[in-house]
Amino acid sequence: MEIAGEVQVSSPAEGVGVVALVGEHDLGTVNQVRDALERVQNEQGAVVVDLCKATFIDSSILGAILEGRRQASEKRTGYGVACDGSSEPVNRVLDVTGLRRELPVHESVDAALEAIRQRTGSA
Amino acid sequence: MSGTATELRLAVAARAENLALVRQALAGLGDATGMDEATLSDLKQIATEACMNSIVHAYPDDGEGRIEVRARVAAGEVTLSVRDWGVGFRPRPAEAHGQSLRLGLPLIASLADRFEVFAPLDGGTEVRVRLSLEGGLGEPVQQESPAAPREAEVAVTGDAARQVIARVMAIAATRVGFSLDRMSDGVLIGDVISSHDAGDFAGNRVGVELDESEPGTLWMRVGPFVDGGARRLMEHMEVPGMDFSLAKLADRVDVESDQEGDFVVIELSRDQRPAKVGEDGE
Repeated sequence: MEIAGEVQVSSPAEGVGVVALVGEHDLGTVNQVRDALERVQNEQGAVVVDLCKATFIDSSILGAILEGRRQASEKRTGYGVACDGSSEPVNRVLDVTGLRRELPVHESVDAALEAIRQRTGSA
Repeated sequence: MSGTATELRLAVAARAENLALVRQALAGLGDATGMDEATLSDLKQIATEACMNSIVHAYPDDGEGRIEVRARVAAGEVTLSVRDWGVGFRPRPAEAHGQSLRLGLPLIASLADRFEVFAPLDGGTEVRVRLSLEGGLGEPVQQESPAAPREAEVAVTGDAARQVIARVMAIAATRVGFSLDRMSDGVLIGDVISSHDAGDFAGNRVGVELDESEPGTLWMRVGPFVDGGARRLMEHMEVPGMDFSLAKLADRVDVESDQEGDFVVIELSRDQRPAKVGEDGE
């Protein structure tokens, strides 16, 4: 049972960063998430938000993810979200809010990276 | 869970780090009562969203207010209440807040079987929800919505009927473009309806459905009536001592029935046509 939320940042390739949310995330960690998204966007360009190891996210985290997408759209940089479906609470929130389709959400980080490559011709 | 209820009462300071504490307390309640994973997951999500609403909106300045969380598991359902004593619901500019805060309450509404927001007399806000145990996961159940009225439906009890129906009919007649004379015909008919014995109406509610979609015509369906009520309304339209019924002011007056009961359908056109009341030329 993951309780404390952790934000892990990595860069699998030049020009792209992955912000992985591990454990439970809510208003208590939303600033960490926002900061990481902004930093990676500024330093790397393209961003993948990885929810595969998240066990809980609330609407403040969804808001941060949507804000990240808005900024990526403004800056014309790549942006993707990955969730492998292993956490039912995370699945539930993505489905009920309609964000799985709206964002859209990919089944893995690799799939999200591929989608960014196809859209931007980079990453 | 047979017969007895299990209750949890928890008070926390309105701080973000306490959201995880609230979820863990609910997880403990879920374990103790054998709650299914899906319902527990929804319960934790709802509690988090409601508490976050209190932290962000109810206590925006000091962040040190009190939030009370109550959960009760009994008889196949769990009820949850999240209460604060903050500033309460207030209109606020949308641009002052991020998108996240507009997702919270709709998310609660989507997950809960029943969702209510109260403004308690002693201040603050209380969110109450109810969830059925078992089967909480899956797509939200789509309930069949009641049909839209043709234009408007109004149902009033007691003395309020006269004022309410007179005003509603007046604005409908205005929108149809009635002249003052024609409007006074409508008002007379409206007075008969609203002053009719409410006991003749189902549920003692004087009910009128209005439609103005036919150009220049005000369509009204009055009812539903209890047995004989529609006939008595027709009699009520007759002017005592004169061989005249106010129904003759209308272009059409008919009694119709459906599964709800009997209705009196009245049509008034902007330009009055020769009266035709019922088949017997009443």
